[in-house]
Amino acid sequence: MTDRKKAENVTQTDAITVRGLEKSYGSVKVINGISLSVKPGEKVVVCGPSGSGKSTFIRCICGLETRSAGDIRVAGHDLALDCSNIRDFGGDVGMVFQHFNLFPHLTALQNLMLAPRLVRGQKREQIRKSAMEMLERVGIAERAQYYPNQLSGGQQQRVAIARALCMQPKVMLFDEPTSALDPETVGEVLEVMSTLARDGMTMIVVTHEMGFARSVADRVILLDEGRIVEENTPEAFFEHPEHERTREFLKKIVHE
Amino acid sequence: MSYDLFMASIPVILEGFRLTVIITLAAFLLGQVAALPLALAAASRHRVVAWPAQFYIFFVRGSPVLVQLFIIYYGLGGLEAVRDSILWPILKEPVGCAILAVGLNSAAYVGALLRGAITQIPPGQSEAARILGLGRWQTLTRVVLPQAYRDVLPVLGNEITLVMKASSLASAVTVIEMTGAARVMVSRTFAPFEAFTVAGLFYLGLALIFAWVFRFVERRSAIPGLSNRES
Repeated sequence: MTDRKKAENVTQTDAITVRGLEKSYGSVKVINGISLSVKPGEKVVVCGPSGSGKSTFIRCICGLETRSAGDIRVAGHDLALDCSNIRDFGGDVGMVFQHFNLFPHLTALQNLMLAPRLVRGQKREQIRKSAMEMLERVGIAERAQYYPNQLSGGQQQRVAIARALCMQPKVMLFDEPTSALDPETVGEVLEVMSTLARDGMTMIVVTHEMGFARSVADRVILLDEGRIVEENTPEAFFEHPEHERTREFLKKIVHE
Repeated sequence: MSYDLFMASIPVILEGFRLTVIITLAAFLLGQVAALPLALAAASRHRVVAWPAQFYIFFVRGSPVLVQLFIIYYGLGGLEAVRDSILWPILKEPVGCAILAVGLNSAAYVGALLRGAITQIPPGQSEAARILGLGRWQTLTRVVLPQAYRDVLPVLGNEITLVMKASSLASAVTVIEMTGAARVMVSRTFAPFEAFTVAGLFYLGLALIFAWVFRFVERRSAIPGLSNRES
């Protein structure tokens, strides 16, 4: 096999491929040409100051935000520019939101069961069983019959992670999953995410939790003004970053 | 006030009670059925869809029900196209006209209400649903509407009472419902106080029943842990 063919093969099997992503709101460019490849099983942490476009970036990848230009391929699906084919993802792309976005009128268990039932059309008993297993996996099985508003923020976020996992996603995206949490519940969510990472899930995580980035990430990316400023291994990123902008950012984060 | 006249009014007015209940329930039901597409259209991002719905809501809410009833009862019958249509059996009957007028009116109010509730559901709800693979229709029926209807339920209980009160306008187009029956009683006995008092009490009793029913439904459908989100 020639080198070129090998290279093609690699791109073919990438879990996430982003090429030349651009996004503007009117005349303001929030994403200014981002390219990124994530291999199956790889964990990428994205950080950056507020307004750097990191949230928009991850929302573009999962198809919740349309883009102005660029190609996006996730879990084997080419995402249309206007995101009209988002339904093709069919749960292959898991998304965890800052504000959980659980369905408040359904119990934790019903939240997990809704999509497998409607989208996959599996048998009720089978779905129920795997949903309970998933709740156990995130350590919240005893709260299966609770409604979201009866749960703490950390518990809600763990249910939200379990809900995404119930669709057996090939990729999990996290948009500041711990930013809306009380400090004492951040740990339990990060623990679930770390376990998920150890189990080999492909992940892109937008977060400011630098401890998590250090211990879990294969790569850490700094976004600023809609561009990738630095892309490095965690050790290099934190110990001897290549760019002044990264040093500045890390200094501010530490002060917080 | 005469006790005898009061008692004598009861059976006469009870005869109109059945029609009042029929007009109220049918008009409320028609209002509910028409309100949902109206609300969805009015909430649409496409102006071609939103504007007619918004105009309808504005037009209907901006003119008296009685005038609308007269337009339907006296006006539509004059149009040949209407007399030839499949709706003529309904429009021919004054009761049908009353149900239509009050129902379409209720649809405008409930449509506006429901539109507000739908647009107030946080966008994150639909986003979560769609990324899980749910289609637009599934997202609407399984995620958005169950929440929107819970939000408007207290006002719907109020709305059915308003519909009940509007049903008395049917007496203006010869329908002998409760108000009409009371007027019949008055023309027979010249005792308006007794007749209308009896009618008023029956209306009150009916309103109480509706209030009970809606409070029951509200309690049954309340989301645990979320009771204080509204108002």
